[in-house]
Amino acid sequence: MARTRGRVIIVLVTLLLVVPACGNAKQTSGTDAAKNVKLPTDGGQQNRAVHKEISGVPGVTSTEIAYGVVGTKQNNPLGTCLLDCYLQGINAYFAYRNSQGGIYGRKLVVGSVTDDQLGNNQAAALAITSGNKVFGAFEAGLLQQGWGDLNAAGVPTYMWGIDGQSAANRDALFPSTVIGCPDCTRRVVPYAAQLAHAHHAGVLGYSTSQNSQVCADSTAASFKLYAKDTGVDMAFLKDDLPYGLANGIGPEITAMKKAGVDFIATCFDLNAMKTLAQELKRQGMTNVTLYHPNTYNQAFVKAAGDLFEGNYVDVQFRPFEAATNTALTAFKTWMDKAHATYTELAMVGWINATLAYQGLLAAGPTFDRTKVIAATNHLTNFTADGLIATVDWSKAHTPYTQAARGTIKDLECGTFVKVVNGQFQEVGNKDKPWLCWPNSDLKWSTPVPTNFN
Amino acid sequence: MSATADEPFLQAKGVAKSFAGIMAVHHVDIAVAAGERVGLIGPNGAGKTTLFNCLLGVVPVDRGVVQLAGEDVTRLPIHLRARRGLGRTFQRIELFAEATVREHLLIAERTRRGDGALWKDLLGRGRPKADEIERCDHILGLLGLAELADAPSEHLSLGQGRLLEVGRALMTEPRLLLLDEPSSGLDHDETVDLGRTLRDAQIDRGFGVLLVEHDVEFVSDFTDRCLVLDAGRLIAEGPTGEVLASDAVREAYLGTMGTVA
Amino acid sequence: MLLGASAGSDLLRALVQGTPAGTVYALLALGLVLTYKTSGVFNLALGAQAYVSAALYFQARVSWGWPIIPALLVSVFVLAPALGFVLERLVFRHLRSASAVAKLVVTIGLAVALPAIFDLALGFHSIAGQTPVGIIPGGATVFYNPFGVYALSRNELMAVGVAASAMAGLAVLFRYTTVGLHMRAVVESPRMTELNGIRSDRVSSFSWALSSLFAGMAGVLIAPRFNTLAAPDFFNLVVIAIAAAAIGMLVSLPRTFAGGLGLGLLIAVFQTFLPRWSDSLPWLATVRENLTPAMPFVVLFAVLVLWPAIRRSRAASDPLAGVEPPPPAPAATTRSRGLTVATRVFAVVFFTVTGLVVFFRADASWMFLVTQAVILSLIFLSITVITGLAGEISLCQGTFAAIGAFASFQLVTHLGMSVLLAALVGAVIAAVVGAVLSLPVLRLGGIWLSIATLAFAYFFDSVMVKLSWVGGGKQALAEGTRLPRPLLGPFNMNDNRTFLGLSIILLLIVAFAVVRIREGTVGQTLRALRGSELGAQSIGISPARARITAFAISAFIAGIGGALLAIQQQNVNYSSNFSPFASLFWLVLVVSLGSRTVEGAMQAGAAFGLFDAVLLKGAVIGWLLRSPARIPSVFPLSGTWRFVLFGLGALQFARHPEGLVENGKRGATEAVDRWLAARRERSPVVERTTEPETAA
Repeated sequence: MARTRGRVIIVLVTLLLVVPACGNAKQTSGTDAAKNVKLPTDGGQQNRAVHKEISGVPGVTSTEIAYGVVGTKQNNPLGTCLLDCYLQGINAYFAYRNSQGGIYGRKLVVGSVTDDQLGNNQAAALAITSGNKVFGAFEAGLLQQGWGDLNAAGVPTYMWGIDGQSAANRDALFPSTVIGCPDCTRRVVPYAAQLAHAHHAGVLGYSTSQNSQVCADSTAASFKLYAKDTGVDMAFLKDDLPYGLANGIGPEITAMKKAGVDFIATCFDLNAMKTLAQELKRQGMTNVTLYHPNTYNQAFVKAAGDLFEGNYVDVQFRPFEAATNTALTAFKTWMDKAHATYTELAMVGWINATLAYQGLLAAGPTFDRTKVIAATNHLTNFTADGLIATVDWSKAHTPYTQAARGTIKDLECGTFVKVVNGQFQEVGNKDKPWLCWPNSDLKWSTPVPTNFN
Repeated sequence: MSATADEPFLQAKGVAKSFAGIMAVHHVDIAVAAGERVGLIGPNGAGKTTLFNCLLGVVPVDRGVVQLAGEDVTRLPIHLRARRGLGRTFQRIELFAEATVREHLLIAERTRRGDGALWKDLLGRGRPKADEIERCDHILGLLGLAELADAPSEHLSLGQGRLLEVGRALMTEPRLLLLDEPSSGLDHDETVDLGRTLRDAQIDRGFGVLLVEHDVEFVSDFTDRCLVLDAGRLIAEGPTGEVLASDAVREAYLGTMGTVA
Repeated sequence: MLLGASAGSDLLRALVQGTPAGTVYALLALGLVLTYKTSGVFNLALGAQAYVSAALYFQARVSWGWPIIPALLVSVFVLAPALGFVLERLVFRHLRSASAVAKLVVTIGLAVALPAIFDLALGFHSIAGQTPVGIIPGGATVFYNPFGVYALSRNELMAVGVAASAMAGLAVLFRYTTVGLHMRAVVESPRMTELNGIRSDRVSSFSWALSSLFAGMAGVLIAPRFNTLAAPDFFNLVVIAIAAAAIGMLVSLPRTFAGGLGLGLLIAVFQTFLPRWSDSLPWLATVRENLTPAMPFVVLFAVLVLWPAIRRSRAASDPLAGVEPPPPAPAATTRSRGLTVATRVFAVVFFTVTGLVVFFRADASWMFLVTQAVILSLIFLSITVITGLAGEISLCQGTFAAIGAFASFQLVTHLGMSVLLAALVGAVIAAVVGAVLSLPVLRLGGIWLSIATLAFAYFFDSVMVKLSWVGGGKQALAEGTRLPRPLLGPFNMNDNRTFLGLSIILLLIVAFAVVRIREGTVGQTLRALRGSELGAQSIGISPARARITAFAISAFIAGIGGALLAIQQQNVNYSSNFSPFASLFWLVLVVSLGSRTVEGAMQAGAAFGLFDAVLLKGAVIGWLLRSPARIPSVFPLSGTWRFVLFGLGALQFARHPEGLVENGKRGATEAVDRWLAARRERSPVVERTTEPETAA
C-alpha cells in the first residue's frame, strides 16, 4: 500500500541522514606517503646526467619529463597577462636546463596548457590528476580551487603564490611566495615610508578579499609598531573598500588629506592603484608617495604617464633592475632568446620551474612524485639560485602567527623599486636588493642589505 | 454557528469606500440571510463592484463593518472570509491554468478540510482519496460537468468555466455565494442554461446567493429580493419584481443621476 | 555632536562628490522607467545595453584609435537606439500580453547573453591599465573646482551636463512633440491609450530606442569611473537604477531622476560620515565595514519592504494587465500510456548505461564534472519548486545555497559536527532564512518579489559573507573555508566514485520528494495560486502561507545542494559558486531547459556541468570522429558561448514557460503519437514493436 511504502521511504531517508553522523573523512593525500620517504643519497648535481629506466611514473618517459600548466587567461578580471607570461617563464627555464642536457637524461617539457577561464580551476586540476600524462603541475590561476585536489593526488605542484590559505598545510604545494604569516607585521613598508621622508601613513585594503583585508590590517599594525622609530605615524586605515573601487575613493582621500597623510600603502590590485593615484591628483595631493603591492608591471606603469612618479613598488623576487647574478642573467638570456618580455609572471614561472628542477635533482635518478615532494620538502635553503629570499621548505607549509613569531629563526625580508621617469629603479644596494631584519627580534633596526646568491 | 434563520449571514453596516477622493460606496447597509437569493443591480459606475470587493475583502473599507454570521470580519483577508463561508465567482474568469476540471474541485475540497501538510505530501499521502473524488464528482454531476472531469480547464467554454467556478466555490461549502456578473460574455441561451443549473444547485445545497448582474431578466428570474445601487448609495431594496418596476430604478438606469434620496 | 565642526563643508563636499555618479544613475533609472511604463517590461538587461555601448566606445577609441565624435556617434547614437529598437521589435513586442514576471525572465536572459555576444563578436576583453576614456579630451586629467571644496574632472562635469540635458530633452519631448504626448499618455494610463486608439506599437518602439539611448549614454559616461571595463559592474549599476526607480515608484520621471541623484549623494554622504559616526557609536562600527558598498541594495530592499505605497499598488506590478487577454496556457500534456511507458523505459536504460559507464570508466576529472552536474541538478530542483511550481522568480537561489554551504562549514569547523549532518542543519537554516525573507516581500508579489530577492542576494554578497560567523572571516584566513568529505559507515567519500554515488542517491531522494510535493496538497495549492491568485484566495487558500512554504522548501533544497557542492569541492568557494550572478545564470539555465519538471532540472544540471567539456571543448566531435586528435581546430570554443546560448534560451520563457526541451519533447511526443495512431488505423492488429526513441 502507498501508506506503508511511504513509511518505509521515510525510514530509509531518516537512516540515510542519521547514519552519516559517523563522521568526516580525513583528507588522505599522496603527501602522507612522502613524509615517510627517506632522503635519497644519489641525488644532487653530481648525478644529474645519470639515466635510469623508470616505469609507471606519470608523465615520465625515457626521454622526457612532462608538466601540466594551468592558468587564467579568459575572464581574468584584472586584464593582466597571466597564463601566457607564466608559460614564457617556465619554457625559458626548461630551455635553459635542456640546453645543458636536461636532467637524468631527459628533457623537461610542458605537456599540457590549460586556460581555467577563471572558474574552472578545479576541473583543470582534476584533468591533471586523472590524466596521468604529466609528472607535476604549474598553477597560475586566479582562483585556487584545484590546489587541494592536486595536493590530495600527490602531484608536485608549483604555483604563483597569491593565496596563502589554499597552500597552507599542503605538503605537495610549492608557491613562489610563501605567505607563512599573513597577520605578521613587516618592517619594509614603514622603512619605505621613512625613506620617503613621510610623517603620516594611510593604509587601504579591500573587504572583498580576506587576503587584502588582513594585509591592510597587518600593514597598519606595522606602522603603529614602528611609529616612534620611523617617525611615521599611522594616520588613516580603511580595510573595507569594495573590490574595484566602483564608488571611487574620493571621501577616503579627503579624510587622508585632512589627516595630513603623505604616504599610502595599499593591498590593492594594480588597476585600483591607478584609480587611487588619479583621485590623489584630483585632490591636489601630488606629493603623496604610494607603496604598491601588485604593480610590478613596467608596461602598465609606463602607460600611466606621471601618475606613479616617485612611488615604491613591492617586488617578490630579485628585481630586474638589480645587478644581475647568475640566475637573473640566465633568466634574461633565455627570455631574450624567446623574444619574451620580462614580466612578473614570467619570473614566477621561472622560479617555480627552478624548484621543480631542484626537487628532481634532490630526489635522485629513480625519482617519482612521492620522492620529489619529500626531497623538495627537505630543501631548507631554497633561493631559486638567488632570485628569492631563502625558503625553508621543511617549515614553509605550516602557517604561524605574529604571537608565535619569536620561535621562527629565518629573516624578514622585502624588496622594492622606485618609479623614476616611468621606469623602475633599484632603490638601495643594487647587488644586495633585499632589506632584511631578524624574524625573531621585532625591535626596529636598520635593515641589512642582503642578497641570496 | 450563531446565525439562526432570521439572523442574516452576511451583514454590512455603513460601508464606505472612496478612491482618490471620489466616493465609490456611500455608507451602505446590506444584509443577506443564508439560503436567500438576492440581486444587486445598478448602472455602470454605481459602485457594485466596489461594494462587492469590500464585502469579499479584496479592497479594505474606509468605514463601516462587515460581519459574517455575527463575526466582525472587516479586517480579515479574502481567504479567511472564504473559510467562513463566503464563496464567489468572477466576472473575468479566474480558473487555475493547467489544472483539470476535477483538480479545481479537489484543491478546494482539500483546502476546506485543511488537512494538507508537507509531511503528508512527502509520505505520498497527498494524493486525492476516494471520498474526496466522490464528493467532487457529485458536485460536477450536479453542475452537468461530469463528462468533463478530466478535461483541462482551458478546454471549457465560457459558460462551462463559470459553472466550474461555481463548483469550485461549492466545494468549500459556502453559506453565501457571491456571483459577479455571471452572464457577462454569455449569449441568451447560455445565460438561461446557467441560471437553471445554478437554481438547481442552490436548491440542492441550500446556500445563499448574492448576485451582481446587469442582465435584468436574469435577476428577475433568479432572485427573490433585490438591492439597487446608484452613485454609491443604496436607492431601493425589496422584492425583486417590485424593485424592478419602481420609478426610482428606472430613472437610475435611464441616467437621471442621484435625484432620489 | 555626531557631525564634527567642519560638518557643513564636509557635507557640501560629499554632495559634490556624489553628483556625477548620481546623475548617471538617474539617467539609467529613467531608461528603466521608460520601457517599464510603455511596454510593461522591467528591463534588467539595461545594464547590459549600457555595457555594450561603453565597450564599443572603448574599443573604438582605445583599440581602433577613432576620434571622439565618430566613436560616440556609432556606439551611443546609432548602436544603442538600434539595439533598443531591435529588442522591442524582435522580442518584447511579441510579449505584450505575457506576465510581468515572464518578461522579467526574458530580460535576465538578455542581461546574461548580450555582453557575451558583444565580447565574442568583437573579441573584446579588458586589459590592465587601459582605463575607459571619457567623451571629452583630457577628461580624467583636467579638474575644475566649482565650489572650492572638491574638484570635478571634465568627465564628471560632462556626465552631469549630459544627464541634465537628457532630462531637459525628455521634458521638452513630452511637452511639445506628438510622440512625446503619446508616450506620456501611455506612461500615465496604458489602458486609456489603447482605448483612444494611440498606436502603442510605435510608442513602444520609440520608448525602447530612447531608453536604450539613455542606457548607452549612461554606460559611456560612467565607464571612466571603472578602472577596467567589465560587464558585471554594469549589472550592478542596473540594481542601483532599480533602487532609484523604486523611489520614483516606477511612475514619476522627475521623482526617478531625483531618486537616482539622491542615491548617488547618499552613497557619498555615507562614505564620508559613516566612519566618523561609527567612532562615536560602537554598534555602528560592527556593521560599518560593509555597509557602504551595500548601500544601494539596502536602500532598494528598504524601499520595497518599508514603503507602503509600493506594497499597496498592486497595479504597479503590471501596468498592462487587462489590456489584452492572457495567452492561452500551454496545452496540457497528453500522451498515450504506451508511449509514456516506452519513453520511461528508454530513459531508465539510457541513464543506467550512462551512469555505469561514468561510474566505472570515467577518470577523476569526468567524475568531478558528472558529480557537479548531479549536485547542480539537485540545487536546480529548488528552482523547479519556486519557479516551476509556485511561479515566483527568485534571484537569490545561489544565496540560499551559499547559506547551506557556509552553515556546514561553520558547524564542521567549530562544533566538529559530521559533515552530512551539518549539511542537513545548513539546509534547515537556509529554509528558515528563506521563510523569514519571504515574510516581508510576500505582499509585494510579481516582479517586486523578484527584485527584492535580487537585492537580498547583493546584500548577502556585500555584507553577510564578510561577517566572520558567516564567511569565516579572519579565522578562514589560514585555510579558507575548507570542508571534509563524509565518512559513511564503510564508505569513505574521499573516493570520488563513492561520493558520486551519495550525490546520486541524494538527488533521487530530493527529486522523489519534489514529485511528491508537486502531486500533493502543497503542489496543488501552489499550482492553484500560480493559475489564479484571486481564485485561490476565493476558496480559502492563504497565498502568504503557501508562498512561505514554497520559499522554505526551495531554500532547503538549495541549501542542501550548496552544502553538497562545497563538500564535493572541499571548500565553499563562495565567489565562484554562489555569487549573485550565479543565481541569475542558474535561473536562466533552468528556465531555458525546463523549470516545470524534475527532468528539466536534471537537464540544466547536466548542461551546467558538462556543456563546456562535452560540447565547447569538442569532446563529442572527437568521440564521433573516434579520435581526440581529429577535433577540428575551431574547438575549444570560448566558454562565453554558454551565456549566449542559455541567455537566448531564456527568451522563450514567456511563450513556453515549460522550457525549451520540454516544449520540444512535447512536440515530438505528439508527432509520435500521431504516427502511432495512423499505424494503428492502418493495421489495427499489429502490435507495436519498435521503441520510439525520438521521444526520450
